[in-house]
Amino acid sequence: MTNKAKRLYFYTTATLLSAFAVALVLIALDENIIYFYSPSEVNQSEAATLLRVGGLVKDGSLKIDNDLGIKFIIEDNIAEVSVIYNGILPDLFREGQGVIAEGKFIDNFFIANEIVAKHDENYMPKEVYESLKNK
Amino acid sequence: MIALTGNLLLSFALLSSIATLIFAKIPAINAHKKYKFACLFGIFQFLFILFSYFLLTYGFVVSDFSLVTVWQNSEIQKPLIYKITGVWGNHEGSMLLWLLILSICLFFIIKYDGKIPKRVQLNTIAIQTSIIFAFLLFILFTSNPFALQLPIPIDGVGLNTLLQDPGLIIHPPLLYIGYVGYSVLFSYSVAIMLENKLTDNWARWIEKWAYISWTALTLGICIGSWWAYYELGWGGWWFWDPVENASLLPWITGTALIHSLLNYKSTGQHRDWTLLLSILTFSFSLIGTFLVRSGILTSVHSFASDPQRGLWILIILSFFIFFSLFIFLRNLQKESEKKDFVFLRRGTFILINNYLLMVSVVVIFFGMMYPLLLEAITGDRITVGPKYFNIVIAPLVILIAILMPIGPNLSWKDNWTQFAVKRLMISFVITIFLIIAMQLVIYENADAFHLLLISLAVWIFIASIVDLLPRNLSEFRIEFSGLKRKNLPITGSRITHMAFGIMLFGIIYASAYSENKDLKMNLGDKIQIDKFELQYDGFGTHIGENYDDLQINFSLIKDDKKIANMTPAKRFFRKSGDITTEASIQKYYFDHMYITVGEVQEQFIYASVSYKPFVRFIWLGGFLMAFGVLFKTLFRSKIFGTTNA
Repeated sequence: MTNKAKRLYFYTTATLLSAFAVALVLIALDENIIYFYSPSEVNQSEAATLLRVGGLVKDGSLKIDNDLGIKFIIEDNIAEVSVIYNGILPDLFREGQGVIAEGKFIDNFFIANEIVAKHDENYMPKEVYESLKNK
Repeated sequence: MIALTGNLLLSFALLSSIATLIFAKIPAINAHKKYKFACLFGIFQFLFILFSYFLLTYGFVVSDFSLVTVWQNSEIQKPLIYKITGVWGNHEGSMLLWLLILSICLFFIIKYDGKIPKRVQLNTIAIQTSIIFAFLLFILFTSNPFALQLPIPIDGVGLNTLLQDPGLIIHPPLLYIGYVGYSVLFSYSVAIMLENKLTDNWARWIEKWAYISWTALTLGICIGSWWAYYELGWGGWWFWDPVENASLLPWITGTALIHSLLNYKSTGQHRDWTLLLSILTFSFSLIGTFLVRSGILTSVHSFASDPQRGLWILIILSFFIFFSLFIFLRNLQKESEKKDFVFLRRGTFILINNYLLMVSVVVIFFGMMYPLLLEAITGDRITVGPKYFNIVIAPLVILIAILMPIGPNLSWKDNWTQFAVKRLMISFVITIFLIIAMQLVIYENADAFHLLLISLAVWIFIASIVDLLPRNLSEFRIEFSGLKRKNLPITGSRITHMAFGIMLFGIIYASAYSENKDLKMNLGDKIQIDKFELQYDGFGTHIGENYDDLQINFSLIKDDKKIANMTPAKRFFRKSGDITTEASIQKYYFDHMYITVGEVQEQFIYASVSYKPFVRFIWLGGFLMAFGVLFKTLFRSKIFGTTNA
C-alpha cells in the first residue's frame, strides 16, 4: 500500500468514527434531556416522564410522614406541586427558599428521586429565579 | 487601613503591569534595557500582588470587618485555619488567589534560565503580563476584595458551613495551580508563534509546565471529588455537573498536550497542533472560570453570581482566545507530509490518542452547553442528565483503553518488533487469566458489558507493568540495576498509565456493583447489605469547636461479629444555625460502607446506606496518576534530547 493510500484509510476511519460519535451524541441527547418547569407551567397529568420542577418551598408545608416519607409543596405564587421524597434532603433545604426537584408525576403527586443541592444558602437556582421573576 | 493599603497595592501592581507592557513593546530603547526593565516591573507586579494577598489574609486573621469580603465570609469565632484558607472560600478572595498564581507564574518565566532567545522570553513576559493586567482590572472593578464598609460591624456573617472542611484547605489552590499553570503554556506558545524563526527547543521549555499543571489539576480534581463524596454527603464521586466538566475539559486537552509534546520532541511532527493544544487548554481554563463565576449554568458549585462579572470574564476570554487563534492562523506552518506513514508507530498512536481525547472534549462540551443553546433558540429550560455523558464517553473510553497499552510498546522510528508483540501477548494472557480468576473468586454474576470494561482496566494495568520489562534480554541486567536513571521518565509514564487502569477499575466496579438502600430504621433495626449487617443503636451528642454534632450510632456486623462503630452525624453550627450532614465511611479493604442520615425523629431515622466495592481505587488511581507525572517531571531534565525517550 502506498503512503497516500494508508493516509487515506487512516483519515477515512477517523471521519467514520466522528460520524458515529455525532450520531451517538444525538441519540443520547434525545433520551437524556430533562425539562424544567415551574409549578404553574407543569402539566400534572403528563405521563410518567422524568422532569424537574423548581420554585419555592411553601412555608409550613414540610411534613415527615411515617409511611410516605418526606412531603412538601413547591409553589410559584400561582400554582403548587405536592412533592413526595424518600431520601435525604440536602443540607440547605429550607422552607421559603428555592429548590429544584427531579422526578415523575404519579397520581398528582410529584415523586422526586433527587432534590438538587446548592453550596451556597443565598443562591437561587437560575431557572427558579427566572420563572419567579415574571410572577 | 487595610482597605486603603490593599487598594494601593493592587493599583501599584496595575501600574507595574502597564510599565512592563510598555518596556516590552517600546521600540525606542536598546534591547538589553528593554529586557531589564520589563523583568524588573514584572517582579514588582509579583511582589505587589503577593503583599496584597498577605494583607487580605491578615484582614481575615484579625477579623477586620471593615472589609466587606471579610465581613461576609468570616467571623471572630471561626477556627484559625479556616480564617487563613477562607481567603479563597469566596469569589473576591479566590480571584486574588488566581491572580497571585498568575503572577507567580510570571516570576518563574522571568527567572527561567533555559536557553531561550531573549525576544521570545520578552514576548512571553508581555503576554503573561497582559493576562495579569486583564484580571487586575477585573478584580479592581467588579470583585474588589478590599472594598470598604462603614460603620464597622461587630461580627461577621461567617463562612458557608459546607466549606469549613479540610477539603477547602487544599482543593482550590491545587485546582487553581492547574488552571493557571496553563497560562504559562499559553504565553509561551503565543510568543513562540510570534517569533517564527526558531530552534526546535521550545518543546523542552514548556513541557515542564505541561507536567506541573497537569499534576496539580489532577490532584485538584481528585480532592474535589473526594470532598464531594465524604463532606457533602452526596455519596458519589462524579456527577457530570457543569463545574466538574469545566475542570475536566482542560484536563483532557492537557493530557492530549502532554502526549503531543512527546511526539513533537521525538519526531518533529505536528508542531502547530501542539501549540494549538496549549492555547486550547488555557482557553478551557478561562471558559471554566467564566461558567462558574457568571452562574449561567445551573450547578451545585455556584458562587453567588453577578452577571456583570460574567460579562467581564467573557470579554477577557474572548479577547485572549481570538487574539491567540489569530496569531496561530497567521503563523500556521504547512506540515511536511513527506515522511513515510507507518501505522504501527508510536507517533501514529499519539495521533489517535489526541483524536479520541478531542472527540471526548467535543461531546462533553456540547452536552454542557446544549441547555444554553436550546434555551436561546426555543426558550425551553432543560438539563442534560448524567446518563448522556456516560453513554457518549463509554465507547471513547473503551477505544482509549484498548489502544493505550499498545502505543508505548511501539517505536518512534523503527518498525514493529517481535519483542513488542511478545510483550503484548504476555499482557493479554495474564489479563485473561486474572479476569477468569476474579470471576471465580469474587463475582460470578457480572454482565458482559461491565466484564469487558473491567478486563480493559486490568489490561491497561498489566500491560503497563509488563512494559517496564527490558526491551531485550541483554538490557535486563542494566535496567534492573538500581532503576537506571535514563529509564526513570519512562517509569513515570508507565506508573500514570497503570494508575489510569486502577482508577478505571474502581470507577467501573463501584458504579456497577454498588448496593444502595434508602430506608427508615427504628431503634435496634438490623439491615442486610452486601455481606454485612448494619444495626441502628440510637444517638448521642458530640461538642465541636464551633458546632455540635448529633451523632447516630450504627454497628457494622460481619459474620455475627461487630467489626466497627459508624457514626454519621447532623452537624449544627452554633452561630449560623446551619445544619450539615456528615457522612460516616468505614473502610473494608478497598471498599467503603457509606452512611448518611436524613431526618432524625424520636422513634426512627431516615438513613441512606451504600456499599461501594473498590471505590477507593478511584482516588488511589487518581493520586497515583499525578504521582507518575510528578516523577517524570523530576527526572526529566537530563534525559531528553535523545529521540527515543
